[in-house]
Amino acid sequence: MTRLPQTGRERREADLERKVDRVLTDSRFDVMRTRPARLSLIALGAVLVVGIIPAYAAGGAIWGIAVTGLAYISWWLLRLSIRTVADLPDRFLDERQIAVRNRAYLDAFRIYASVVGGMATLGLIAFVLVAENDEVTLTTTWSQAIGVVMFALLLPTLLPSMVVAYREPGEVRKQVAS
Amino acid sequence: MHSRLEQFRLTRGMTRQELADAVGVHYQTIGYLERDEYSPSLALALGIAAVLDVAVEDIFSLHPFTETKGPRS
Repeated sequence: MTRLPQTGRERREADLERKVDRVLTDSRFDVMRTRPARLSLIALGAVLVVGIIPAYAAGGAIWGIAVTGLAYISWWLLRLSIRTVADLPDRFLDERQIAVRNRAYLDAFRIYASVVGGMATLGLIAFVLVAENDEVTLTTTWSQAIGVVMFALLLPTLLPSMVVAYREPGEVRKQVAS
Repeated sequence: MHSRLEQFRLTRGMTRQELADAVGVHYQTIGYLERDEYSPSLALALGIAAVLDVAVEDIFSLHPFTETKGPRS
């Protein structure tokens, strides 16, 4: 007789396993798992993440929050398109999926480091160009500052899923009959 | 890595899903193996060979298979 989950932790684990099993095998969202659909979702996510800074800076909090929300929705769609492979722990993945996920995090780190490093370098160059007596007065609003922070938070959130979606070809249709 | 996995699987009348369930991987991984887009670990290769009841070198090879000579050509 199958032992039913007893403790809250066991029930949560069983619930998580059911959800993971569903997302790894379902075919409801296969339309988002083709190569063109994945590339479109990557482009959408990139536009929204980059757009967070001008949305907060020019449009204020309302526009900023709206674009941030859309960026999170694009992340959710991206995750569905790759069956959340980028976010699952080892015990739910097979050896190829683990290799894909690990490689994606390495590439995502390199991309993030390049973007942040590039922005910092451009900032330093701008500082040198405009500084007088080694001083610069920078005026910013809360919205502008939050926009930069949200960009820095959301970019590493989306990048691993973006990399997996880019590296993986469109899914092969499930072969039911031999 | 080259494989004749699809050939052996079809001979046994198995679907990708059935083979995947038997060796504990996602069915997509079977597709990657059949298209020579992923090289399996030794454990997975041996597991697949055991399920299909053939020698592992009959399924996987470092060299392309030929129709007449097989994997050890």
